[in-house]
Amino acid sequence: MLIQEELSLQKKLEILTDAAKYDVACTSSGSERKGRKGTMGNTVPAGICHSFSADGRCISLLKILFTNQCIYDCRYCINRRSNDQIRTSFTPDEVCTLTMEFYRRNYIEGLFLSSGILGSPDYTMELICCTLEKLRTEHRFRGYIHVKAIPGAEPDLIRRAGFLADRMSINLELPTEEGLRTLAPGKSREKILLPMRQIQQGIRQDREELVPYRKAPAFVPAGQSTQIIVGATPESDYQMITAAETLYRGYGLKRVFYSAFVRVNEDRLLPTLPGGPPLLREHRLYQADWLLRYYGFRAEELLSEKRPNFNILLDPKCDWALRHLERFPVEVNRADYYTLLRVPGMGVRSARRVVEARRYGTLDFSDLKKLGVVLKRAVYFITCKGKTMFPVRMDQDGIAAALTGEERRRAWEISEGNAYRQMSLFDDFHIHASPSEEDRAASITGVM
Amino acid sequence: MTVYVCKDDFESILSGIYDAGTSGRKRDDQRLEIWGKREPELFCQYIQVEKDRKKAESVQKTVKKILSPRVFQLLWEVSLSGSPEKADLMYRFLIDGFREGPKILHMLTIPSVSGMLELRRAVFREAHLLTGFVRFGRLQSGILAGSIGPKNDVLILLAEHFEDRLSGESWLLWDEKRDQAAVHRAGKETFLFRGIPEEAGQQVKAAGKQDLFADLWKQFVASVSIEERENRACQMTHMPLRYRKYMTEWQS
Repeated sequence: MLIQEELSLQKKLEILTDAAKYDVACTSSGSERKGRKGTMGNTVPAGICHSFSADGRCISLLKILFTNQCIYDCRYCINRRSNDQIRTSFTPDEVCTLTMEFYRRNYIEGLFLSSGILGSPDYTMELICCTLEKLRTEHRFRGYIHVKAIPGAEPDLIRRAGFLADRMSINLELPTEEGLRTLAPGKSREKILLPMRQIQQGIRQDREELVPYRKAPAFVPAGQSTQIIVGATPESDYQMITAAETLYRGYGLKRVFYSAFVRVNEDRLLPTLPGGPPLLREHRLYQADWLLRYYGFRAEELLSEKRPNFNILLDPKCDWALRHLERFPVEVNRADYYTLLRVPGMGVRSARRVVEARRYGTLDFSDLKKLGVVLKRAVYFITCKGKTMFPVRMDQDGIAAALTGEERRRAWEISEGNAYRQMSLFDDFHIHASPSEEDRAASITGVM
Repeated sequence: MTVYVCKDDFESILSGIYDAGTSGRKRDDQRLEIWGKREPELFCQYIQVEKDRKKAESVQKTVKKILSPRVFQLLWEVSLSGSPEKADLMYRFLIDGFREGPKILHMLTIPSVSGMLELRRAVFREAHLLTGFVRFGRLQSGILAGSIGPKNDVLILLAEHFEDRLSGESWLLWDEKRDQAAVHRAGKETFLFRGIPEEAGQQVKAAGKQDLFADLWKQFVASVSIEERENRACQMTHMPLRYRKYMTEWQS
């Protein structure tokens, strides 16, 4: 291992950005803090994207590692101990300078500080805390800070960081204990969940304290998040969203991020992915995640042991609706908000607008368009004044075909097994006899 | 058809609405336009609207009293839009508003209402994007300078945002298209100016190029992308080309 101390700031930035980029969390949301006269920085609840990188991901925070040295040897990680590459480390002052100068020029919304484990978890966490303290007190920085809690670090250190940061995260990386054992020797589920629980309790305590004029900083005001790698281990989508649901309900997490596995290391235990990272799968998981957080769905409504993976051709909501046609169509002028939310083509915003607008008059299909409802999808599942837009037969095959297009429906049926069957001459009529010589000849000449 | 042609500012539009509303003509026989945004038509009588504070204040008072202060706020927000239809839309919206009363804001299926809200959304969408896309560069004098060229007149919204965020810095933000600038001195208030000298404009435009930290920023933007996931189309949807020429990481 080559440890370089004397690199230029530019080179360090290159290496330590490159090493941090596989962490997908980029959001700067969830925290509202006004600026203070004479200082720099505030935060806005919705977060702000400052740029977009060539892979289409938002750049909001200065996402860097403090150091890319690490005592662990996780197989999926580019910074694993056994990788032969240049290792370097920022100093706290360098991190502060970069953050302040970038923020001043409106390049960034704040700092995302992660790190490899240098020496021990405690030592690393201490370094991170020092850096953040410098930034908050010496430089009086009031912008957004997202910081990693290092698993295994002293609870006191994690607490200290929590009062300096807006958001904290600990990456679960793999949703099952087994996955962790094979790919991340040295880490265990317990070790990761312990600090997560600590932060959750810290946040709860902080909220319960009734201080009317508080001067003390809040504890992790933007909540905590985590990340799960998709496609490095054979876990199903069902296992992933069940894990996510547990984290949302049991640990009060704000966000679970999904990261399509990118094979950065040669290792026989890692899957080869000839088609590139599983981006479509990642996309479906995010869609489902949205349904869990904002649409009142539960994991077992979307998937089950028997149907453990999402459909390639249909988004999870359409897929759910097709399997529950008995609940549709719903009458837009009467259905309650949560029923509307379950209609494909309606989102949180359009459902709210529908509820608002119908108080002042009956809605028709042309009105829905103005309210932002995607009729292309919604039209099969709703009625206005008791009528569908055009005659729709409530059958799975027909609607599925319309939603996905005839060509893609085949692939869909394959992944669905018998759920929605296309009529096939031979299967439906149980003809098993092999064709005769005459049949063969006829099939060539075309004369029957 | 009688067309009231207003200058592109809130007071002029309100004066136009006042003139149209008190003309005694049928509403379908008259409309409002923004000066210079539309080709003149035959068989139209064009009336140049004089900006008049008294008329504007009269409209303001009536709207606030009969409808609500929120409706007036909406009028102001829509007046920032870059759409050539906005003045006429505001006029039609007020006609519907005076018929329906304060509940007009919730009657989303009325075309003028959904049109107004659509324009407002566009204004705030662009302002929100620009709170992230604005780039400042350090000038030799130490001032942070940046330029924008937005479709909607969002400078005032951005100025409010940066006044809170960078209150301890001296900065200048210039809307190149409308030749307006917001100037803030460290710890002081922010002022809006109309027109800056051409030489200063050149300097502001080039501010990002001379800055030492620009290279570090470009390095960061290049390094943070994952090669295996490259997706230029996605990048394009989120960050359209028209913003890029003002952004440090896209300037060579």
